[in-house]
Amino acid sequence: METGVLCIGEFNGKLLRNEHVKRRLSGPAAGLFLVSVILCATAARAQDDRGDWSLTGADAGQSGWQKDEVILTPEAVAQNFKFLWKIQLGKPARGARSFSEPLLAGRLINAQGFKDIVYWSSADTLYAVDSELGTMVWKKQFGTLGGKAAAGCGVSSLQLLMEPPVVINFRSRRKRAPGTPRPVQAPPAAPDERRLGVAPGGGYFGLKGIYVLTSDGMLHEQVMTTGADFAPPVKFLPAANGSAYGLNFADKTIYSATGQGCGGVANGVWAIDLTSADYPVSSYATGIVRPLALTGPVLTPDGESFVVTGSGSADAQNSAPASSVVALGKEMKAEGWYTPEGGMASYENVSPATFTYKERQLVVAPGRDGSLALLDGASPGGADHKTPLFETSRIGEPGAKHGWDGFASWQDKDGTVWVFASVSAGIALHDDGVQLHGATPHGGLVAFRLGDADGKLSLKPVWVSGDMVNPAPPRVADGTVIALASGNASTHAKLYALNGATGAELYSSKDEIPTYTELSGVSIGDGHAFFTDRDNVLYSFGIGIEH
Amino acid sequence: MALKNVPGIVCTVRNLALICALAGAVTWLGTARGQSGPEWLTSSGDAARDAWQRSESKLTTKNVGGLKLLWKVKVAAKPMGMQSFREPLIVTGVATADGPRTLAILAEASNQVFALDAESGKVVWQTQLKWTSAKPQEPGEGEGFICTNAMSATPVVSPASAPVRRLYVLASDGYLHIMDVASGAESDAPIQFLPLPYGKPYGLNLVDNVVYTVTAQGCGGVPNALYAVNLENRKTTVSSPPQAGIWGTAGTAVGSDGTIYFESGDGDYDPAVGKLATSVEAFTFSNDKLTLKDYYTPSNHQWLTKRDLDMNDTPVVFPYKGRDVVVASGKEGRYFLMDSKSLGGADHMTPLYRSPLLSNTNVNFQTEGTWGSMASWEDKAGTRWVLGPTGGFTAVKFPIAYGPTPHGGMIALKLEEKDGKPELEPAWQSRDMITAEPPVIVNGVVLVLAAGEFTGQANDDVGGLYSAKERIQRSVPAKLYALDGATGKELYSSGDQVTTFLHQAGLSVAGDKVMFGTFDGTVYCFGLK
Repeated sequence: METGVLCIGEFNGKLLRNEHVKRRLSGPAAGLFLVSVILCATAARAQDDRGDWSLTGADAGQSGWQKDEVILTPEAVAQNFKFLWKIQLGKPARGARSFSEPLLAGRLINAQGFKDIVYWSSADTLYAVDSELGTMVWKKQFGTLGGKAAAGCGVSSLQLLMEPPVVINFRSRRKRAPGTPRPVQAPPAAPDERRLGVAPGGGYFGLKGIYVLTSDGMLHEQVMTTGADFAPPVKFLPAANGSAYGLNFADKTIYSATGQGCGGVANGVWAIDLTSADYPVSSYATGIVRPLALTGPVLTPDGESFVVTGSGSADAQNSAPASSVVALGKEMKAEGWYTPEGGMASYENVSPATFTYKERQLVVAPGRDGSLALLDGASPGGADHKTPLFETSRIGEPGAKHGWDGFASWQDKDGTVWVFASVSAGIALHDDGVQLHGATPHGGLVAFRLGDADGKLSLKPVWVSGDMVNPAPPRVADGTVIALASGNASTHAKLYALNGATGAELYSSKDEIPTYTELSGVSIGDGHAFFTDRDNVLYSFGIGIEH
Repeated sequence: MALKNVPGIVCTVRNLALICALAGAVTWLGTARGQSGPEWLTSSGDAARDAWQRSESKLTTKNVGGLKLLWKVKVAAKPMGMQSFREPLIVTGVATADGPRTLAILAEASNQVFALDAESGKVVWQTQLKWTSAKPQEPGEGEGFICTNAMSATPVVSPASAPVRRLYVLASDGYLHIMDVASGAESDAPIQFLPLPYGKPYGLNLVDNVVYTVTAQGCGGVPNALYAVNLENRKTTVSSPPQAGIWGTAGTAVGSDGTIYFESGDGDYDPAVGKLATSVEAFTFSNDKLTLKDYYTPSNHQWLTKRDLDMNDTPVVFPYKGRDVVVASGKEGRYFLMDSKSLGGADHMTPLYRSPLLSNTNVNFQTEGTWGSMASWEDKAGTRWVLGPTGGFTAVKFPIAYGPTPHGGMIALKLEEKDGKPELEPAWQSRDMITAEPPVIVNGVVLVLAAGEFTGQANDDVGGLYSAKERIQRSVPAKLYALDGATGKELYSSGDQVTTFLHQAGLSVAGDKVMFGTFDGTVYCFGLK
């Protein structure tokens, strides 16, 4: 029996008819820790792709900006944003958690119909949940837990990643002359012919994969719609229990980082090339200096990566400068770095964000002792490795210890570029004209506007949010900033929606979340925001539709 | 011969020439909406699409268990994609070379039309319709299993009261071919119905000398719309703007006042500019103009479109308390009861009744929910019934059921009033059937074809969608069932007598004959000996 869905170009009035459509190419898309990095390399927008969040932080640069969102305007959020559903995903692991962030994929299709899916993984199980209904679609247990972890290493979540969809511009396709037979499409590859990272064919509805990096260092690919094994796994990290950080993706290469010395896996940044059947792995060793890349290295579209390094002594054994922002080329060699004079504040975890502005790659990262630095991606610290493009005033008190800080960037409809920072220590910003929304002894968000005076760039603080305990990296959609105050053992988490231009509170979850979250990132798609708490409960807040 | 179903008109053989000739001008309008004798002249039996054979038949709940295969004949049909035959039309009193005969007329995917003697199965005539479009004819099948280049609309025959009876066939060239029922010859020049060939129209409806159809899937570049051909002046009219796909297999339903109803599938929704996806729409036709009269849109239409849960059926219309009411359904698995005076109320989203989810808890765009069309009848006690096929488990417990239905079956609802408001109450659920087709009712007997078609689309093993070839390979032979209309109890099963499946072909009943055609070109006739 026919359906309105036919094939590319013929779905009744929606999605596919002569519209730009994103086609997901199946390929490697997972990581050790829950890392989902969206790489939207192509510019054209799809009609119905606003539900996708393929990578941690929305894209390879971890901008945190859901560019395709059209529902979460500040006006709509103020009226209609609310708690939608929650679902328990297995039993929570004991002990400290590692980073996790749900990933989103919309308009998938399986034998039970169209599905919009939110993916999340625990230490050994990948879950796929219907993102509209909050019901389980499938789950896959990997059984890779085993052995006693070294002290300080604990049990890590599986890391996830999906290749972002590739946009197809149907208007540019050459039409066949009447009577010309349609080219015969090769049948999709049989299961035993499939290779990790290689599209199996089958047209628009061909199988697509989500990548999973398990604790044994193996990279898997699972069929997104069913959880079935797509292809045999391949080796990524040299040993098990390496406690890898998040994953990222650019140009058919998956990146991760390790920074705890667990399992004998050296600290560093790792990359696996999916284009070769040998899956070669390259790395950049940071020595005794930790990369603070909890969410994985951030990437430019052409595969340059940036990590912030932790403290350490600058001796010959170090291969990475400490307390610095290090830029790596595709060959996994340092191409530049920025070391703020006087040192950075103390961070447990922080990832920079990178974005393109007027064809220039900019990086936002910690600066000197609690400030923010705006860096030139091509030469982060300039010739002396100490000179940023701009440095803000100090945001927090000197000497404050930060847990997990993060960034987001957004360009509004007027073309103004914004940078948002989540600060996990008390905020003491003394700049004139900054709009404050109450004291922030524990932390919160700070919003900056990118200034451009004849090419001289600056970051001007505009507003500071209300107080937040352990705020997760901010997320932005359609003018609304979504902020998750993770809380701690003494105070439960709260989800906020703020006006991106003013910081005004549009929504607070108040007491809806009964416990705190721990190193949980937020993903946004199709009018919803998703995250998990420390009890493995997955939440959906947003503007729902009647089912 | 008496025309029993024409109010106020009794024509016997003796005075046929005089009285019926005089009455013909009137009854030509009136009976276009009803049935005329033991015939089946249009998809789902009549213009209102209730699939209720009201004319006299010996088939009853007491004797239908004795149904037998009277004959089967294989003709040189050429399926295209999944398409083979459309629903048979049954015409009585056709003047053939062997004398007056009842003919079963089947249109087939490759623009062939066959007429078989309903008594013997003998092929009386067969016609390959001539390609009329100026656009070239494409060899072979179309792309995919949806746009197949096949003829897809069940034809229609003018009523017995018409001065001259004609068979109207919308071929894949986009032209309405007009044929002599007795000979199969084209009696008039074809009329261009669709702007391009290889569209995908559905069941033709002939009312007051106007033929209606609807189109879907944008096949061949034909805009999805309601189309009308005025047979008096041969002018074609199309509704505007183009719609989302309109693909109820019986085409449109027409009410007692001539209002045309159809359901629209997924698409852009913007009532301000007339884009009414996922809605039930009502149009009028006057002075060669189609005008939107009213519409109903389910309040969860965004969800329906999001998950491809089209409103994909032909509605059914029947009288209730002095006016027409309309019942619609679709893939979602709900049933809607609407007042023809105001389908959706002031906000166009408030019907008389919206059922809970009756099927498709999987939110499945393929296979599940109610597909095609429905049926409705009123029993001797005055109870109004609505029936529809389902493609999987039901979502509610029916008072009478015959085991789990993993493949679906037939559900029956009763129109009842609760606190003064009409509701459709679940009454019974049939046994499990593989791909139940829309039913036909005669004398309290519900006749159902379990088509046997494999309706899955997404291939979870290797990805992509199943091709037509793969779906054909996975299909199983059809079965004919007869059920008690009051209880759903199985009274008859054809067992293994039918040897292949069918795809949206439908069955027809006239007199004691139950007929349908299958994918391999075999036409079956069951009846009482």
